[in-house]
Amino acid sequence: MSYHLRFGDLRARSSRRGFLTTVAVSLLGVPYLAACGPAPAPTPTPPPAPKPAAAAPTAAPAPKPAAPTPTTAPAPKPTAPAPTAAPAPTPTAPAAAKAPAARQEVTLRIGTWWDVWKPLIEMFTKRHPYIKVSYEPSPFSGYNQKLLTQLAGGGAPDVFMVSHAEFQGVVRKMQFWAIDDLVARDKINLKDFAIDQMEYSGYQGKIYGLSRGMPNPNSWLVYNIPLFDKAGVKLPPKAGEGAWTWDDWRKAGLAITKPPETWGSLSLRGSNIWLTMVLSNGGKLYNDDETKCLLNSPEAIEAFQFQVDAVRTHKIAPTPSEQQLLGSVAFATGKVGMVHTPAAVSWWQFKTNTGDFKVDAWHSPTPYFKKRVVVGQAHPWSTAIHTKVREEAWLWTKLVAVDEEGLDWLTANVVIPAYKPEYFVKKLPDERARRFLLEALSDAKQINWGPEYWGTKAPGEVTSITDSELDKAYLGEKTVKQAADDLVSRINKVLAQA
Amino acid sequence: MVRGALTAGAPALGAEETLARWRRRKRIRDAFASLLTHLVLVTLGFILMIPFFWMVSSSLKPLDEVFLFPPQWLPSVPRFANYPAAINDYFPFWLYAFNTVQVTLAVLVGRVFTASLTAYGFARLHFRGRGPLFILMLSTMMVPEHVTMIPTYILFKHLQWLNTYVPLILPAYVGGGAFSIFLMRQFIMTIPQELDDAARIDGCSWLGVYWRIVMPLCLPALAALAIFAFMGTWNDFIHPLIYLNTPEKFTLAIGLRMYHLRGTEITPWNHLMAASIMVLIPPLVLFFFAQRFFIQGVVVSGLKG
Repeated sequence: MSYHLRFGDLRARSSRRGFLTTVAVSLLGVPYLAACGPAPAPTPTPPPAPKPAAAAPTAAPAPKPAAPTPTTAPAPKPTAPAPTAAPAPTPTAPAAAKAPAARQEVTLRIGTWWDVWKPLIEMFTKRHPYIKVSYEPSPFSGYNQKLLTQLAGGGAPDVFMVSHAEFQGVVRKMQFWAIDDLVARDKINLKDFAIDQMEYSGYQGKIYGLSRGMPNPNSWLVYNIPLFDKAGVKLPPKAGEGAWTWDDWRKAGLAITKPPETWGSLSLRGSNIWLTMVLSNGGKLYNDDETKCLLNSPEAIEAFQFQVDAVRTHKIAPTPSEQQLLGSVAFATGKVGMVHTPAAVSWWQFKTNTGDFKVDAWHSPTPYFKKRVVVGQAHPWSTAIHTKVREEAWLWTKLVAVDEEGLDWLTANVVIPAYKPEYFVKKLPDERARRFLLEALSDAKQINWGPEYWGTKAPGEVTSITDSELDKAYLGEKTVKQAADDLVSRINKVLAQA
Repeated sequence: MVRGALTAGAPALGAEETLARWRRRKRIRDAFASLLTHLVLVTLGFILMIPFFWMVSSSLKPLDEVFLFPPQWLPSVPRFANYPAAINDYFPFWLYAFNTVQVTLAVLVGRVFTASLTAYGFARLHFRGRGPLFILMLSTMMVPEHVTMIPTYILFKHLQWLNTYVPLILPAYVGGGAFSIFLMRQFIMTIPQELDDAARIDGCSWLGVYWRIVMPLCLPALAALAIFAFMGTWNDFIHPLIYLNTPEKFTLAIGLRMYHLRGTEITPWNHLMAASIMVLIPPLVLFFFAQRFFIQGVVVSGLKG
């Protein structure tokens, strides 16, 4: 017997009881889905009176000669034009600030990958009571994927932190507001930033965000003083007093290494380190128009070979698999002489990486081959092109990038600000932290920050391709030359498609 | 003749003695084979248990013991304080657990009912275009998730369902996905059609056949489907990450990625492992009690969820 469904068949043969049961079950599901749905729009609260200009963050002390520009009074309700379907990268400026009689409550969505910003948000909402903040932190792993999906779908937070490695790739997709008009209006002098904002947050002559902190050089050298003393090795120079060459580093590593008890260093494997080494050796990542990768040049191969030899020939550092087993906190066990960490510009991060000083450690600048070069990340805060609260997003950007009170908090808790860094570091109450960070800063002034980070076309893919190919050289599956040729071939294909 | 050839030239043995000897040898052979099999399986079992063991061990270590090299398999002093720290110090663990349970149960119910109903249609009802429609439905399994992520996101954004659980739950109520439908359809096809025929002759409606005949006989497949749905939703990271924005709505899978020392990418592995064990307990208990159905699901569909 074969069944053929015909029109009316189901209806004709369904019992009334069955029908009622189905309807009842369906109705039961409705409230549940409704409960999971979006909350109804909140009833607008009575708008607070506008904050007078005189009430602007007066908490900030009278600026010393180098004091930053204090945040101005809350600007009026934004009049920024809503972006069109095909938004231009540089929307026109909002209408000139005119204080409205009253402000409606607005919601500002703030996206970050670190859940450390609550004190600043409290400071922000206290200062701007009409702004309700929707704080949207995400885990670091997955943050970029989420942000890119949100930007593509028009659902990104109004203002968000962007990974520097991803910034150039995203800004090309015209998803950020340019903020040159706001910078000019509020008379923020970009020269007060210790790093060039056009280089770190700019694109095609426009600024698309402000750096919150100094670039974080992941290849900063932290050393274990007792292990150095035990091996009779002279300590590396302090920041501001020069730096080791990589040859010095190797000699120290060889003297300290006695596996499995002690390793001279953790592996040099890692994107930030190899790029620094290649640039320091006179190599380049790309040609000028970023159409060809140059990582198989003799200078690059020499730098790669140095890294691989440290593991395979000299056994100063563990192999990648041993390294994975050791983990980044292995330095805290006291069995590792040196580690390259992003600790230089952040006191608390340094303490964390060294196991909160279980190990007596200090820091030295990155070693070099021919010239001192450091690449680093300075993650900007940017504003989404689709935001309807551009002015409020700007208020937040100012708080985390140029505001006195905001940057005091940032210096003590997160990172040295990129804006007038020495001024803020000198205000730190902790003497050791002050000394540590000033040393790092004194060196930062002397070094040549890598002019190119990962390029603009496909930064994420370039780093992952290079790391994976270099791992094969680390494991002995390829020679360094073969690995370099292969990674160049793969990266060139990516560049061609980008 | 063969038997004769084998025994030719050998001292004459009684048939019973030959049989007894053969049985003895067979017993020895079987015992040896069984021993070997068990040995291999137990060894493999131990190897497969190593990550789990490492997880439990690490959850009881201080952080600086986790990555000791060479590895230290047991903590010097078990630190049970890691568990309260993992629960209290990083994110509201119980809130996230409640959110996860809420979403998981809702998805489970929806997927079990709608997938079985859709599968019933494909298995039992004959209508124009059934074959092509089924192939089309199956072909959606070939489309990588990432291809549809942005269009789906845009859709949910226009429906104003972002930062709600609807994007996580609703898809389970519209068929529950090609895999679930396929699994159920394969199982329903194994149920004799005569049972349907008898019910139909007795006046049962199509929905009646589904509810009274097919569903009770599908319980093993429904259990397998429920387990797949539970596992998939409980461990899902990417969808909650994309669709949920505010921390109070996050699920445990997101929470587990938030085990970082303040503002760094450094993970306190001992606390993360402690939390992972807590998160693992419900699926583990479920799998322990329902592994028969789980395996049956894999066998019936030829696929793993």
